[in-house]
Amino acid sequence: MNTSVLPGDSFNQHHWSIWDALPWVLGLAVFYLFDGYLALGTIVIIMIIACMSLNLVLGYGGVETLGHAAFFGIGAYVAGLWAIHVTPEPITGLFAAAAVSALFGLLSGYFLMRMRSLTLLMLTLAVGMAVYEFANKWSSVTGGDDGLSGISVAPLFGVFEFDLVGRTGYLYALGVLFIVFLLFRAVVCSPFGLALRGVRENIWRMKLIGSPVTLRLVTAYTLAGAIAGLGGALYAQTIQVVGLDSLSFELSGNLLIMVVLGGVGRLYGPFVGAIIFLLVQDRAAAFSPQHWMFAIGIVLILSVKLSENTLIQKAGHGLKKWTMW
Amino acid sequence: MGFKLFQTIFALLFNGIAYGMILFIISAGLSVTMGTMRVVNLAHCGFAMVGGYIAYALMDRLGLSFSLAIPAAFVLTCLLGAVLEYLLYRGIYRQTELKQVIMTLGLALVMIASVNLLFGASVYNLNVPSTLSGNVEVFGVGLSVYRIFLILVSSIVGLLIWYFVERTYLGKKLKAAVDNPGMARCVGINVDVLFSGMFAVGCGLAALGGALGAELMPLQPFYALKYLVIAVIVVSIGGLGSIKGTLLAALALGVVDTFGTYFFSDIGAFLIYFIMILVLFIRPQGLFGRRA
Amino acid sequence: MKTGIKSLVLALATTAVLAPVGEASADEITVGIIVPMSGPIAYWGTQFQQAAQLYADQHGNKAGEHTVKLVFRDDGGLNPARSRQMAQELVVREKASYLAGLAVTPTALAAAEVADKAKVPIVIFNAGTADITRRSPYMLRAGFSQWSVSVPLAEWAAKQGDCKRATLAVADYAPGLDSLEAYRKTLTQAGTEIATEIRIPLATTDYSSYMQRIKDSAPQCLLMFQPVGPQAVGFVKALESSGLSSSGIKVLGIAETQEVDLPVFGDSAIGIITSSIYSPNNDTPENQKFVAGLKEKFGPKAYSDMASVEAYDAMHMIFEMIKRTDGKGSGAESIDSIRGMKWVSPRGPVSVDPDTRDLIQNVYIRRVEKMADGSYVNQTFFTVPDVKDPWKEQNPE
Repeated sequence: MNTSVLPGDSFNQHHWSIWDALPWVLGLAVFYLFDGYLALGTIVIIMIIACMSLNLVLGYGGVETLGHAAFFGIGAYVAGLWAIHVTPEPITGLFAAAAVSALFGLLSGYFLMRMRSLTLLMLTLAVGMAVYEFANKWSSVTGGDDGLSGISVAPLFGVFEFDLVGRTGYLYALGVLFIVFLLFRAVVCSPFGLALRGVRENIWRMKLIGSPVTLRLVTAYTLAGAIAGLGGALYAQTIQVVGLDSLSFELSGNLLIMVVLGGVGRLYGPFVGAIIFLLVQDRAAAFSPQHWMFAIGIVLILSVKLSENTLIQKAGHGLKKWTMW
Repeated sequence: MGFKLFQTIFALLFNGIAYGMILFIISAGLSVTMGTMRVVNLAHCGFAMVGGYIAYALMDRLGLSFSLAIPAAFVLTCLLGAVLEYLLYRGIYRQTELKQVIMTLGLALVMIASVNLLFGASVYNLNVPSTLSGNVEVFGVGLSVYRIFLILVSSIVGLLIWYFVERTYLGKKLKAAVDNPGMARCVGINVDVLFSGMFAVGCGLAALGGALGAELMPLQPFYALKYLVIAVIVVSIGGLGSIKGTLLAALALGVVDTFGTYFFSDIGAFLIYFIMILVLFIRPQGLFGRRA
Repeated sequence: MKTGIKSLVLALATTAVLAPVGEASADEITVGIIVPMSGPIAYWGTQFQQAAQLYADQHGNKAGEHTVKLVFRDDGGLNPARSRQMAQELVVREKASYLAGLAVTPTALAAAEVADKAKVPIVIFNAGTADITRRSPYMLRAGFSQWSVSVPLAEWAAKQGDCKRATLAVADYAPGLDSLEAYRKTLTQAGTEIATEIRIPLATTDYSSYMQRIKDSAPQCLLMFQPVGPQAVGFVKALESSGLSSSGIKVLGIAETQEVDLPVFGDSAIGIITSSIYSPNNDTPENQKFVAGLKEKFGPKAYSDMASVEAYDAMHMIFEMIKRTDGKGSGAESIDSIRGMKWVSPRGPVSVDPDTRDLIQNVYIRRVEKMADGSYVNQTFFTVPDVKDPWKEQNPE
């Protein structure tokens, strides 16, 4: 019995409104007002991208996965290796990373999307861990536990150097997020997106009406791979060190938590979830890191027990208009 | 040379079986929970960890002996499992897998954080009584007495489970409830109580495995998530809901891992993942699972 | 619970103490310290913090005329992104003039990038990969490189005469492989036969098959390296349960019997020989003062180990840099001011290598022994003085 992920208003279409400018205004405000927080800000943006990727398969496709970090990490390592061995030019690195992650999504999706829920969940875990172990073993290329370092990034467009304060990095990430968001919105509001949501809501009925379910899921998985790969590439280029943590189960779990907190299947869910999770984690870490895990665990348990699995729903009807499409 | 090879293989087999038996004890509960109650329980190894720490605390702080602390840990964790089942798990049986994943993940995090706060981040081991330490020579190979003990205890536990399920009246009721809960309710079987009991015992078994296996798998806060992957692999290969499957898968895994690391240490952890992925593609329900 | 609140209270207290008292010449220099306070290697963080705090307190938070403010940040242990973010925030937001900390190589490299760009000296507490101090002229190391403890151990073992055939078993990651290479080179040069080399993945749970391989290779001595924590504990326990520790094979290692894990082994660890840059029961006045200071400030359960002495000495290096440049020097000038500086630390006599910016220090060969009161210690019985990083000597730039 697979009950729907979302309530009955799952097929609403998103219409542009003045509120859609809000995240970008905020993003630019942070840039101008909070100079010292740009490092954190860049990480938040990168995680939003990764969460959008997960949201695509989970929130729109209904595919539960515990191994999503694999796409992110693959993108990160590819971008890092690209910068070291091919060219430090960042934009080409983005494309390379997205391409390889998408390929991985295609290959694994081809095999995985035929599986059922519990089996699929376990398999995504296994595949994620297998990728982690692979990167660990192939330490001559990936640096193993030491991480991949020595990644230097050429100035963006040949002009903007990646500076210490992180200004270039932040705007670069923000720009990528903007483009990815537009693409994402276009996809989920397209007929393809609608079909995907149909699969999520009732896979059997979709099959009955002849919709090519597996094809749709594999496409979504591939696309998600590309998006997460972009996130990983940004990560590699702005941090300039790639560690195995980018492939870890911990990251997969964190992404899942962020997407759920922000609202599964909501267009702006990843924004809300990533921002809240990472900001609270940052403050909690400064205050008392040991309690952070405890608090997050309680929040997760409560979020399920209270049967409301999204913060957006809790925020009330006023936001509903903005957050649903 | 021939005898040397035999000795090596004998030693590897012995160690692999001991490791496999511990995995069986820990994973049996997970197989039951996921297979029959259809709950994804990511906190399962958390119970194993809690059991281990309870045993440690009983021995270290209260001075209990090993032979008392282990059963006590079993019982206490059963109780904990029963309480948590009532408070937390009961509401999520009919929920989506995602919600189950989130809630049990949250529970696992709470367990890790609690253990970290109470015991700190260092690694703990249980003090094995002197009667169980040391080695015994068989075929000229030194076998750890403790591992012999592990194999014996796990076999007894396995037999007890088999006997209970196959030969007792309560076991028959259990099988009925698992096969067809609706029908079982109709004939007056209290399915809810039975399921809660199964869950609690599953947690207790995990605790038993965690406490007994602390030699092999040292206790530390990240235990809960670190060994979760292995448990998941065992139950996936064995088939959800099948005790027999879990036993065979755990033994196979233990032996393959031990032989694999001896002969092909470069492949390392891969072997396990590949086998799992392979098995699940050919038979998505695992070796002995049921197609629902 | 206690550590979190305690460190918070300490941090607040320190900040309160350091509030400028209105002296005209006193200005505040911020030192940003990035340590793992959460995550799998959090116990390093506790040790680092306590020792650094102790040093600051013992010197009244003053270096010469200047007040020193320590700001601690958590890097989560193994997360290079976090450590880079922390480093960036410390330099940009807190205006740190010095950075310090870091327990492992990936986080050290990530933070060092920032230090290099900002031209700020960074003193690495622990990360052990040999060539990291070459990555930036602003990096100094208060710890040691894997080679500097592995080579003396192997040399000593070869000299004993009962190590003609050796098996090497290390954890399969960069520091382990460093040790492997160091052992192999040193032993082969001394004429020892290497029976077999074994690389053990960090994620291993069951060490029995590795024990089997060690037994099958029939060595006279076993040289190992496993990192502090579950790997060290698992490996040493497996030595016992497989009968290797009582089989007459000599067992030599580096970090496996650290004080934090030693109580867990009981009698099975007795006789294991390790090499380290520090032994808590070294009988020098500096060490006694250090250990007493820790216990007085943090309670009887506080103990000193390799991690604490690294942090302590790193603080000394930073405070001296501030003093010698009168708090005004640039990053490069600060580093130049302590090249070749010698002092006696709780670990023994040390000096800053003027070329490599590592520390030149003693390496102690110790054996695990049981004391009269039933506790276990690593007892030093041989000292190798003034060890420079052998890897850098053999691989000049």
